[in-house]
Amino acid sequence: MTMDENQEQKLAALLSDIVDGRAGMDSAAGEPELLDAAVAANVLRQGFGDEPALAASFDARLRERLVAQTAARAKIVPMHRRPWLRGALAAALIMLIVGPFWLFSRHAGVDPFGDDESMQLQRLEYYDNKYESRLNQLRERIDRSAEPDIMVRTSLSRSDERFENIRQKRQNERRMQRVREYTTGGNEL
Amino acid sequence: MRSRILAPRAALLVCLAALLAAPVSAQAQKADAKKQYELALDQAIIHYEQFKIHLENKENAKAMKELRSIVDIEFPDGYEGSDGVLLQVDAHILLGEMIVENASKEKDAKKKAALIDDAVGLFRQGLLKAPAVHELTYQLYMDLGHAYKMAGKKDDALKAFENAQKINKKLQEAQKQNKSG
Repeated sequence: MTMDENQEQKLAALLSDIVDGRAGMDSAAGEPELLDAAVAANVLRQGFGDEPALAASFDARLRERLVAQTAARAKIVPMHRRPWLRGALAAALIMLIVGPFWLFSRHAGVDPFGDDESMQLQRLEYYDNKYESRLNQLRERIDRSAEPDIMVRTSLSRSDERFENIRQKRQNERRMQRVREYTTGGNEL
Repeated sequence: MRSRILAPRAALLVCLAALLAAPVSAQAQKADAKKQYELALDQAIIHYEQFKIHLENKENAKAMKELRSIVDIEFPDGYEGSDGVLLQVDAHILLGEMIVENASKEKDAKKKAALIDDAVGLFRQGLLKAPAVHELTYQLYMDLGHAYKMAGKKDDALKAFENAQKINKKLQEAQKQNKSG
């Protein structure tokens, strides 16, 4: 048995004696916790008689003391005594949720909270540069300042190609139509 | 007495004639629409050829006039996505781009704004005629984005550019499927 356990057993026995009336309250002097417990036990045992206000006040004080003692033992300060801690915890929680979104929003193309001005401009420029390359080909064709790169099959050259296909197709259709008219004697509906 | 007997018979005959005539007239309407379409297509081809000649001769104003003529051609209903309409959409694009090009050289702010408005109108009309997913539709949205950007309408410009990217993605997917299939 350790020293602490010995002491605790001694105190428990003394408390029992005080509560049963075998020892006086003065024997608890020098042991504040024991004195508190003895007073509380005595009062609980004897009751407050017809003094409910006193009983309620005692209950509240006792509860407060017990809470304080438990917290002191566990080295925990109740949350309601530190409102700033509550604020800090809430802020940390918000940062934890918002942080990843904020981090991703730094990368181009990912914008969970929409665009900020600079990103919008960047994207506009990116698309517009893509567009400009085609427009340059049109400029070249209009100005004839430089020969367009024939290896680049731009949409402009595709326009020409599309037109050529349509023209040829229509030419063939007309030829076929003339043949049909010739063979049916023009009686086709 | 005789008219009492004849009247229902006449009504019956009229009904029969109407029933027989309905498919014939529908067919005739279809043939008319086809003729109208072919005529419009021929006109578009001629104007396009002239546009190319004027462009070669650096006669930009005349070239633009030819494109405007193609834009103004009316194709009959039921020919959406046909060669003629695609040619017309192409004319919307080329004319709009030439106008944008002129706007970029214009120093008078009011004239510049009017030119850009004209181009935006052309691109938007073109979008009404173009198929939902087509390289021409992609080009129209890119053109529209550029024109809006020139007009300082950043949000509209981005929307147009992003629509173009969506179409581009769909076109690429279709291309991949065609290759694998």
